[in-house]
Amino acid sequence: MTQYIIRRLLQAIIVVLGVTVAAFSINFLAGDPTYVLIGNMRGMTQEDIQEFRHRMGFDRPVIVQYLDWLGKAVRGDFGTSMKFKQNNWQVIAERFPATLQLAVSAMLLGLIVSIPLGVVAAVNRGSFWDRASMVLALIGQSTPSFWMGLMLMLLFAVTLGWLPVSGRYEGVRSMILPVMTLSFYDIARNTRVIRGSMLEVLGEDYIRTARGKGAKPRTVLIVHALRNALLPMVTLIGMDLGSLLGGAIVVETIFAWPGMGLLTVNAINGKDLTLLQACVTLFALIFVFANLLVDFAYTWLDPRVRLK
Amino acid sequence: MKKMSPFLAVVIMLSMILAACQPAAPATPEPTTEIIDFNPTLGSVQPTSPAATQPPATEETAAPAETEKVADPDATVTVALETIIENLDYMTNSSLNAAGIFEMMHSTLVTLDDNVTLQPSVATNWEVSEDGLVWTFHLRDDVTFWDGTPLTAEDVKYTFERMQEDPYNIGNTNYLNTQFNFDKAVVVDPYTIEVYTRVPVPALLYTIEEINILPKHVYETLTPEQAAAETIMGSGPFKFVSFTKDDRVVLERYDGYWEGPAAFKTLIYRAIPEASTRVAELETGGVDVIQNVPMAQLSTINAMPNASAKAMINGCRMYLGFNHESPIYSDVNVRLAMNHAIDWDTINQAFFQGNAPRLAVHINKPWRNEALEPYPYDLAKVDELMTASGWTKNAAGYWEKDGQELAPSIMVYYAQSSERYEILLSLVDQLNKAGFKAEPYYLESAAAFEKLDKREVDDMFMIGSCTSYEGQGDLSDLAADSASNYGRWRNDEFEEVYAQLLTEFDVETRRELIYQLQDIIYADAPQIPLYVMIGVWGINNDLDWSPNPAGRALMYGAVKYK
Repeated sequence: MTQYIIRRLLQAIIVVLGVTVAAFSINFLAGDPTYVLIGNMRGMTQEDIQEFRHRMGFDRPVIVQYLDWLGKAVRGDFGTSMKFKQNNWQVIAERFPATLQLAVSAMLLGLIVSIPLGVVAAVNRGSFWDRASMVLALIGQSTPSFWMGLMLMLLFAVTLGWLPVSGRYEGVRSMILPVMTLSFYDIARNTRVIRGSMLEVLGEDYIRTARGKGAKPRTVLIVHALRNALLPMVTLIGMDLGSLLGGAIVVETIFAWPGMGLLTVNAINGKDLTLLQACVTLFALIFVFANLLVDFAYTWLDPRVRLK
Repeated sequence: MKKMSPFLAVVIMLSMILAACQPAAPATPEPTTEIIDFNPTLGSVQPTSPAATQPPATEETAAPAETEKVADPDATVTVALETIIENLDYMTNSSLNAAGIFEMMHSTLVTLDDNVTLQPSVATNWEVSEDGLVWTFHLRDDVTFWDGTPLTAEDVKYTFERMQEDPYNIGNTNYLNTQFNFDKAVVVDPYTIEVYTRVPVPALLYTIEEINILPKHVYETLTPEQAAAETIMGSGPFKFVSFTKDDRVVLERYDGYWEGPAAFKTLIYRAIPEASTRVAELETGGVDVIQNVPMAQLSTINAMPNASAKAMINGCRMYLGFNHESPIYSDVNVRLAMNHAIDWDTINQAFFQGNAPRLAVHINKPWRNEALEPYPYDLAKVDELMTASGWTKNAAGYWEKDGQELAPSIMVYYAQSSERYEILLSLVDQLNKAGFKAEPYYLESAAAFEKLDKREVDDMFMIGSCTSYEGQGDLSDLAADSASNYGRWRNDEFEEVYAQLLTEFDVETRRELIYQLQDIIYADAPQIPLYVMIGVWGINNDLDWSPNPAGRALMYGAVKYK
């Protein structure tokens, strides 16, 4: 067990190092970062441009720039946002709660809706309910979130007038549309996974044994079947955190929700490179950390994993 | 009940699909969009009138009698922009949207009116010394900051000096400094200031028009970080209330504003990056004004019962540039031929409903010589010019010389809310039909500017140029030593006249020089001038407001009706 944890931690460190290389490379994605930061060169001379390049340290070898950046990043110093003129972590700290609020709500909604749907579909395999939930899953997985968001907005905000169009100023009412949009894919995917997992579990010997012992159908379903069928969900929940944060980029832009997603988009549009690096690194760290937790949880929940 | 749930699900899905398919325009004839063109007048150097003190309409004066609308002095006006300010210090913000928002909180020495004509503001009048190096400004004595402190010459001096320093001398402030050539400022008395420049700067007023005056007594004690994040003090018509990054700025009417208080109480600028969301907010009444309505959504706006669209010609001009260091494009006949190969009317109809006429030279009004006609679409003329330069058409119908096909690659870069790539595709098709085997390619803007600056553009590029409304700024794109002369065009005659323009203060002589320069440009065709961009705004019908040609959402003069 200890060996397994150490091995996974080492793997995670390698992944994080890879992430730092990727995050640092943002500087060079569009060529010389000098031009990214200057933008319009109107009125500038070549000397001005050279002086700016030197001031920003872009005239040093790339490896030196990377090591310098990494050294600061390890100490938690991602520099100052070009746009906000504020420490990048401070900017992120202001925005992270809004995204967390969306992501956690969407994840909970996804679980609340998909678990009963998946179970009902599996128990009534081949029935109308099974087919309906699978059609819904198909639509959910194949519909882009930007389209779904706009459609929900048109229906519930513009046509029916029940909910606000955008923003984060009307409490729960403001959350409904973005959370629905963000969770739609999760609901669809989780429903399929739970259905498949339930079908597999319901065919196991121990279910037959439980039934043979005279356990009530509901007890068999919830205590014996669902409990085991939910195991793959642990993995999905871990991965969800990453996909929900990624999905927030689209949803927050559509609904003008001032969270990490919108911050990242605006950092891209505003060429705020240091802020973008901090955002990308944070997203990646969360993803790596969540997956690490999932792996550890798995070894605890299912001893077969650590035995392998 | 069990049978109702799937039915409900189907109804909801159908409703969503129907919502998506709702008609963009009503069956009845749709109203046309009002296109506002500005008509500025010359007069960049001497004040033409005393301060243009036109207080905004009040409850008593604003309501047009025939509509019996009543202005609401306690109203909130919400403006949805793509982006808002980045921090609270205007000197470290660079976007046009931020400039407009800060202009609502600060005052300037001079200002541009809705016709982009210069008007006195805090400075009532001014003089320039014989050598053109000293400007003396006389200030109003009734301008106060929000805390009641009078705005004096000390504040102007402090502001001009502050913008030269790090970390403020970046971005747009850096650009202003390069135009300003500020040397020093001397306070003569509390309401008179002398501003010295290192070289004569005839177009100085168009630069200081963008410089907001900061209160020295507040800002001299603030660190750059504090000025960016913690506080803001101004003398403009609206006081700062709150700022949430990438979300909103809330302002409130300043009753002590020297031009008179605004006609409504609260002004909110919201950041809504997605155009469809802005349109939905306008339709539901969530906001009163939206910017950058895509042309494709014009009919949607005009079909709304509560709003309408207004399109404003702005000062940004699009053109196709040539790499003049290439032997092919250094031939004036080739450049003229390509000018004649453009059928702009077709593109204008398709993209702008006929509202973006082609330019003859890429100069803004009022300095543009309207007598110059754009080169007409004329394929016979193309053939004549190309043949004169020794080009012949090959079997594929493309121009060829010495075994080399004329196949220009044309670079364009990404820009939000712009159909420039689609327009370029149309232009490329037209050039192909005229025998130029053109190929477009698309780059991220920073990569594009790097390529332009390093002279790595092989053939041609499509680009926009936005400057002040002073002809010299527009012409600087073609000056030999300018970093924005991306095509590296050089014309000795142009350089000679341009050098005179740089030191000429007399407005009429400047106009003559600028016309002379336009004649040179027109004959030598260093670019293919295309059109002046159009900004479309959606406006609630209960709001009396017109967009500003400078593209800034200036709301001071707006009136909201009950």
